[in-house]
Amino acid sequence: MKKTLTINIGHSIFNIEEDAYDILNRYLDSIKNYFNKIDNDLEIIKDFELRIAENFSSKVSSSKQCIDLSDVKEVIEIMGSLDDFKEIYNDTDTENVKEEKKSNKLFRDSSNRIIAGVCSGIAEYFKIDPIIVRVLFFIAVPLNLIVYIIFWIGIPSKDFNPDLRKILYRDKENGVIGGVSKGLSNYLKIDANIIRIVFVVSLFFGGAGLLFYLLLWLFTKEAKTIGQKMNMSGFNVNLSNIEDFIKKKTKNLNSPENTLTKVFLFPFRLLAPLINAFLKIGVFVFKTIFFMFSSIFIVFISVLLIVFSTISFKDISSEQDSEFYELLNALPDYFATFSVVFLLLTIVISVIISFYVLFKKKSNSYFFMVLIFLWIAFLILIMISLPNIILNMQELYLLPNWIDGNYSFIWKWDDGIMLNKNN
Amino acid sequence: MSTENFKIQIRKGLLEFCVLQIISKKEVYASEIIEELKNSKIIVVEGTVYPLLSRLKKSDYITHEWKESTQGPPRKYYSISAYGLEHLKELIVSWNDINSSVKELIKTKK
Repeated sequence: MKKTLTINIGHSIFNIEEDAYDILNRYLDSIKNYFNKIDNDLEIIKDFELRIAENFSSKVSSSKQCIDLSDVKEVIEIMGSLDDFKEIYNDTDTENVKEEKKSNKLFRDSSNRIIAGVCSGIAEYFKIDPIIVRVLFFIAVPLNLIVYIIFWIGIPSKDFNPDLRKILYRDKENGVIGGVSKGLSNYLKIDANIIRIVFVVSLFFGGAGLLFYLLLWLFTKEAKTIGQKMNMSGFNVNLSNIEDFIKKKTKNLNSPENTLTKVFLFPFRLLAPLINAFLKIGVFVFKTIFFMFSSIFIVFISVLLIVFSTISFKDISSEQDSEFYELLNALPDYFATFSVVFLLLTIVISVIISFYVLFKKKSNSYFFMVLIFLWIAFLILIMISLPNIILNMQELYLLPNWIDGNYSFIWKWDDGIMLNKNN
Repeated sequence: MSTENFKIQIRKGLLEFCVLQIISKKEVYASEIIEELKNSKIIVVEGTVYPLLSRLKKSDYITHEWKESTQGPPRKYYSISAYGLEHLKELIVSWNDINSSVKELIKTKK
C-alpha cells in the first residue's frame, strides 16, 4: 500500500504515488530553474507540463489508475534530463552558470529553514551542513539571539536549489539505534562501522560522544522519501542518478555483513529496542523540561507585567503618600506604556520561539519579523528614555533616598504596590 | 571528434531548420512536431523542442493559436508567419548549397 497525491499538471488531473511525486517535483524544479536561466519564458514550462500530462495519460487506464515511480522515470527519460538540454543549448547558458558560481554572497536560505534560514544560509556560504551551524548557534545562548536577529534583518533571503546539496539525515532504515552513525557515514563517506566504533569508544571517555549523538538525533530529520535518501548521499536528482541509486541500494541489501561486523553490532542490536525506548523517553523529558522552563519564564514575565501595571496605573493621591506620588510623577506615562508593550511582545515572541523549537515547524516569517522589529524598536525607545528619567529623579532627590534604603516597596492585596517609608 | 559528438553538433545546427520545415507544411501542435522529429531521429529527448519553439516565436518566425481538441485539454497549434517563410527559404537555399558542396567533397575523395 502506498499513499497517493492528486496533481493538476497541464490542465489534467492525475493520481500519483508519493515517492513518484517527489521525483517529478524535483525534476520539474530543476527544469524550471534551467529554462528560467536560458530564456525567461513561463510558457516553455507550461508547454513542457502539457506534454508530460500527455505522456502520463498514455500510462493510466481503468486497470492502472495511478502514476508510479517507474512511469515518472520513463517520462523523464522521454522528456530528457538537464544534461540533454545542455548539449543543445550550451552556447547560451555557460556564461550564466559561471556568473552564478562566482557570486558567492551570504543569503538567508528560504528553502531550508526553521525560523528564518540564517543558519542554513551561513552553512550554504561555507559549504557545510546546516546542522553544524544550528548546533553551534544552539550552544552559544544568549549571544546567538542577537546575532541571529542582526543577520535576519541584514541579509536578503534566497531560494537555493536543494537538489545540489548534501544534507545530513538520519538513516534509520540502515541504522542500528537511531540511524545517526549511518547517516553520518553517508554524509562523510566513511564506513558506518568506524563511526560506530568512535561513538562507542567515546562512551568510556566521559561520554562526549553520547551527548553529540543525542544532539545530532535531536537536530536531524529521518530520511524518508527517495529524494531525501538521495540528498543524504549527495546525489543530484536526475534520471541516471535515480537509477544508479536504486541499483546501489538493492546491491547493498544483498551484500552480507562480515563476521567481525556482526559480532561488533550484536550487543547493540540486542540493546537497540531498549535504547530506542529509553531515548524516546529522554527526548520527551527534554522537551517537557524545555517547555517547563519556557512556561516558567513566560509566567515570570507575566507576573512582572501585572506588578508593573499596578504601579503605573494605580491611582494614588498625594495625601496618601507624597513621596511615592512624586516618584510616580517622575515616571512619565509614555515610559510605562513602552515598558508594558515591550513585556507583552517579549511574552508573545518567547511563546512563538518555544513552539518552533518544540515542533520543528517553519515560521510565518513576516509576522514574526514584524514582532521582532517592534520588540527592538521598543527596546530602543526604553533605552533612550531611561537616562532622562533617571536624571529627572536625581534632581527630585528621589533616587538617593531610594538607594540609601529609606524606602522600600511592599505588596498589599488591596492597594497593590505601596511605597513604605522605613523608620 | 567522436562520431557521437559529430551527430550532436549536426542535429543541433539543423534542429531549428527542421522544426520550421515541419511547421511550414501545415498547422501542427507540439506533440506532432515531436513525433515527426523523433521518427526522423533528429531529436532524442522531447524536452529540447520547447525552448526552441519559444525562441522561434520571439523572433516572429512562427505564431500560435489555442484550439479545442476532441480529447483532453485545448492544444496550442503553431503556424509559420510570412516572415518565417522568408527566413525558411533562405535556410533552404543555404542548406542546398552546403549539401551539394559536401556531396561534392565526398565524391572527389572516392
